[in-house]
Amino acid sequence: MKNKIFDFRLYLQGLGRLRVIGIALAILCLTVSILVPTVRWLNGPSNYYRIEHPIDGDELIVEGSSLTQSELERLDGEGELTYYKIPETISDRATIVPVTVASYLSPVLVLMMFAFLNKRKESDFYHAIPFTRGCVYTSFVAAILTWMWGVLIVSSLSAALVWALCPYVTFSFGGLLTHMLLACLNAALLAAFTAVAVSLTGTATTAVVTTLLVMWSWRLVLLFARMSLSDLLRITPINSILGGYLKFSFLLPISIIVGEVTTPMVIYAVVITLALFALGGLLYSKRRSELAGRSVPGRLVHNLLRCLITLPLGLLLTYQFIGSSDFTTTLVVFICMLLVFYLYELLTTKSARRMFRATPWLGAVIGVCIVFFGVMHLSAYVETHERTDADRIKSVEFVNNAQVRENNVVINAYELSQICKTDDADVIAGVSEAWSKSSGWQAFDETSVTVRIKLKGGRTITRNLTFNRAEFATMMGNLQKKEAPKSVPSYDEVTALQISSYGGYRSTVIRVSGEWRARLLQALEADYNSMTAAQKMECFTYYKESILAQLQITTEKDGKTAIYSYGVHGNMTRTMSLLYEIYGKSAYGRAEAAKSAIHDWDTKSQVTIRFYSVDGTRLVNSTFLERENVCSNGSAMNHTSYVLLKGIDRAKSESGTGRRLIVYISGFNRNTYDNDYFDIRFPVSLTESEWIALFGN
Amino acid sequence: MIVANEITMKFHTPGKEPFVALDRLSCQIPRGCIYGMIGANGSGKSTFLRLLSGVYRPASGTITIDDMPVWDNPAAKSRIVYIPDDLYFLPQSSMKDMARMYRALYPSFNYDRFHKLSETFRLDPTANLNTFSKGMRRQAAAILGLSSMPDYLFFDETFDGLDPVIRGLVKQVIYRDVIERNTTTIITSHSLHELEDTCDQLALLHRGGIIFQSDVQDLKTSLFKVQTAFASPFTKEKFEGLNILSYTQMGSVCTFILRGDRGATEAHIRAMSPLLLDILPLTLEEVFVYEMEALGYSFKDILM
Amino acid sequence: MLLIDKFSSKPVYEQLIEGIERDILIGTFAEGAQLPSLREMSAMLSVNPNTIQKSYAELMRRGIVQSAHGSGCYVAVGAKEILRREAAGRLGELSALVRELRLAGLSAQDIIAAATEAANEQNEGEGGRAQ
Repeated sequence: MKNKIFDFRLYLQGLGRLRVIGIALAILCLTVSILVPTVRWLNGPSNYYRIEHPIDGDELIVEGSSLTQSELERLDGEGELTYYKIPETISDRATIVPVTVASYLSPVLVLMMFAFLNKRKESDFYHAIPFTRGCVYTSFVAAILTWMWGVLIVSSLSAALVWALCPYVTFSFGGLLTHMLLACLNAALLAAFTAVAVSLTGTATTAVVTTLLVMWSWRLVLLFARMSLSDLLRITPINSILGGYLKFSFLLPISIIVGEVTTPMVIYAVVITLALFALGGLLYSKRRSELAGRSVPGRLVHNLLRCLITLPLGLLLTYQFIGSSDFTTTLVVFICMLLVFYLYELLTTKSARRMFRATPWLGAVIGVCIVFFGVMHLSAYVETHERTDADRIKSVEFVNNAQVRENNVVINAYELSQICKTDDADVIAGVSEAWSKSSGWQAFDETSVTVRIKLKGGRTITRNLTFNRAEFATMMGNLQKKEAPKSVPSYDEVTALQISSYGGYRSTVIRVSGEWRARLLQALEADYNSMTAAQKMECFTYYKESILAQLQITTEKDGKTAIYSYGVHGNMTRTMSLLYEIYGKSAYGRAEAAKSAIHDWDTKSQVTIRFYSVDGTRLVNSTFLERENVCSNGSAMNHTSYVLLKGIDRAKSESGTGRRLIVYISGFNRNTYDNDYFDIRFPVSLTESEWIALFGN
Repeated sequence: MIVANEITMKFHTPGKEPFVALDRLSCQIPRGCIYGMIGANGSGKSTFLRLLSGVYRPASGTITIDDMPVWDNPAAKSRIVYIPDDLYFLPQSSMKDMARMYRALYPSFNYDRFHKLSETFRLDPTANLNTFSKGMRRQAAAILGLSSMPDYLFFDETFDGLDPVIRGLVKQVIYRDVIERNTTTIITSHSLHELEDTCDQLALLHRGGIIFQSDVQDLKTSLFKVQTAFASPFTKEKFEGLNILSYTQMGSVCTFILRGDRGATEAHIRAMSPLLLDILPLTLEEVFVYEMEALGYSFKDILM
Repeated sequence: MLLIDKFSSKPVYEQLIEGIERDILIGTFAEGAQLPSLREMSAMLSVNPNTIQKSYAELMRRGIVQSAHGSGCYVAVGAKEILRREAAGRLGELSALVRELRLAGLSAQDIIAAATEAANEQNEGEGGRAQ
């Protein structure tokens, strides 16, 4: 008999061993996968409603759905605000969550398949059959994966089918394959951990314990590494090290739950899955059959356990030395470490003499900690000493850095990243200088920016560098002048564009598509390219009074989705003009609604009025009116309201000669029981004299 | 041929001294032999068989079957069937299901024999094995093992649970296999009687070592009991030159167990003109007891 | 006929040899006749084939039985003669027994009478020494 590495009949037998749980899993998974979309289908359009503001007359443009306005259920019409029940765009995750959850059950399958290793009778039987150990292992592992992947794939496809048929949702197939593959990989990874554990142990409980150990002990070490490096490294963002390898959630099962899966994580998962399966096979071949049924672990596991029990405290102790810690804490940790080690030994060997004889293992743990200490400091040393000259740098990229946001920095590099991947010599020089000077500390006139530095050798290094604010602004400004890059997404990339306005308590949204979208994008680009850097910065400061509305553009490029926000302010005359027209057409800006808001002035409180000029002559003038003011300054208010009312009518019947404004009013309806909020933006056209009357010049 | 060379098997418990199950055990079992092994519980019989079947791996020493090591060697294992004392069948299976499995594992599996034996032993191949009594399960295991037509067949206390008729039937099959295919069989048992009936070689296992191995029939003739009396007083020295294992004397009559050639001994003693001379045969059990005592063991300790 | 007592203290192969010798002398197995195969013997007597093999080997060594290649064992021509010769060698045992009996007090006449009776009985029924 040739030494086969896989036997088909054994494989079939393996499939048979798991048939009960496999079928149960399949039924459960399929049921849930099909039930969820079916229920949604039966519910009709989704429960979530949004305010839709038609632009062109009454035609509702609802993106991603094939249903027209008349087919949708109209909920509520309060004045000119119309509420519709609209369909949902189903994200791939939501669809396949039941399937993904099922992938976490693969350890159970492995435990059940290899349960024979835990009973003497069965273990002897399977070790006596005329196949190599490796052959038995691969055949059984193949059976496990067949069941797991089969269930996952069939459930995903069934769910997808139902979703696709349901007319009330928009289903995106793009992510289906990715999520299916991720679920399969997750299942394989968890199975691989368990496979290693079952080969090392003799009972189900010890197998479970060992699985957890194998999965998490390395992560634990990395956790301490992360803590240490956070302290030691001054300017390296922790999450940039090895693609975020140190993150606790780098391991695929966790990152799937968290929802953020990157390519390095996937590659890592594939590699360790293969490595662990191979290791499991090796361990299975060498396994001592006598382990069956004995809860006392084999020698390897036993020694591993005794070290791993103490290792966390050992690493904690090491951390005391890395970070600056006081003597008392260090001493306490040290004593705890000794206590834990010897207590464990005492409990397992039940002999004081043997307890002391185990001391060399404590030495091993301490040795590991010393190595750990060395590695940490070495990394810190490397970081400090690796700064290079400008001529070794090929290009730099300024990237999104959450830390920077939190530090309330004026310049937000993320937005600048639309213009800021560059190999401009001046910028590189600036970066190189900042790199050599950055110490991790930031003075009051400095800003911290995350920079990805690409060296000529091919390496990419990510660092948080501090720049002098003014110098940084100048550098960026010069760059922008030189490069004049395309900074607004092109029409083909854009998958969604909406005008959102933040009014204080909620945001309202106008979705734009088709011809309006094209025009808006063009206007935006023209405006954007003619702005100065300072003005651009203004554009990206959220929720300022000078911003009339946000243009939120969603793009899809090379499989990556990005959302860009451009604040529209007075300098952007072309965009403003378009908005003027759009507000005029949308229900949101309907003249009648505007008028009624103004008429009922005195029933409102905390009224805010802002004026945005369309021709760029005047940015904004904010007027905050309380009810009292209305009464006391009644004549002033009356005058304003009078002018505005006339302006509204003139805008409606626009002949194009007046001074144009977009007016924003918001406030509370004081008299209604629940104090509800309103806001409205509407176009107004004033004569020259009305303008001067209102604003003075 | 099975060759075990100084095999040692240890069971490890971390924190304690390892338990030595087999201690430098060596033996050779030729093809076609029906080899019996007797020993108390824990003496290492099952461990030995597991080593021979490739379930365990010896801590030191070598085990080869026809010059091939058994461990992780499908070529060797496909010629071996091990029937353990603690039987395992696939859950909810019938004899037919198990036969199918055996067929997949051992290409030499013979369905004709399987059906014939099932019929002879009056066992229903389609019934769930859980419904069988313990003895019937042993029979089923024996049938499956025999139907696999292996070159090496190991029965671990299988016969101890069978009734005499069935035992006789199984024996017949084994004998036929020995003749036709030179099958080598190893049978372990608690009963000397059982082994005496069936085996041609016998080994006594104690605390992990073979302390005694011999051809069964030779054992019976290796020792005999002599009872003799003389007119004049005498002591044991009178029988100088004879290989005496055990000697008792009461007055003028002495009884002793001796090893040697019967005829020569008889002549030797007759030459001394005894008053009476009786040469009596010993049962196998008696032979065992005296051989053990000669080696320094108390048989009662070993087998009880 | 061959009767084997497996639990007697006499080894089975010895019993078998004696039984075959007897059968040859009686004439159940004629000279030149084929002896039952190992398989038949083993099945008939429920005896370990290795044991039977041993018996046959011993008989072959003494020249009583011959094996033709591949086709089993045959009673050798002249087997009876060999047996007769071997039996003659055992007359000495008879003498020793007689002496013992005389010592015990039996008369010579009784002894001779018994011997004569036994010698004449040989041709009927089953022979076989009592143990």
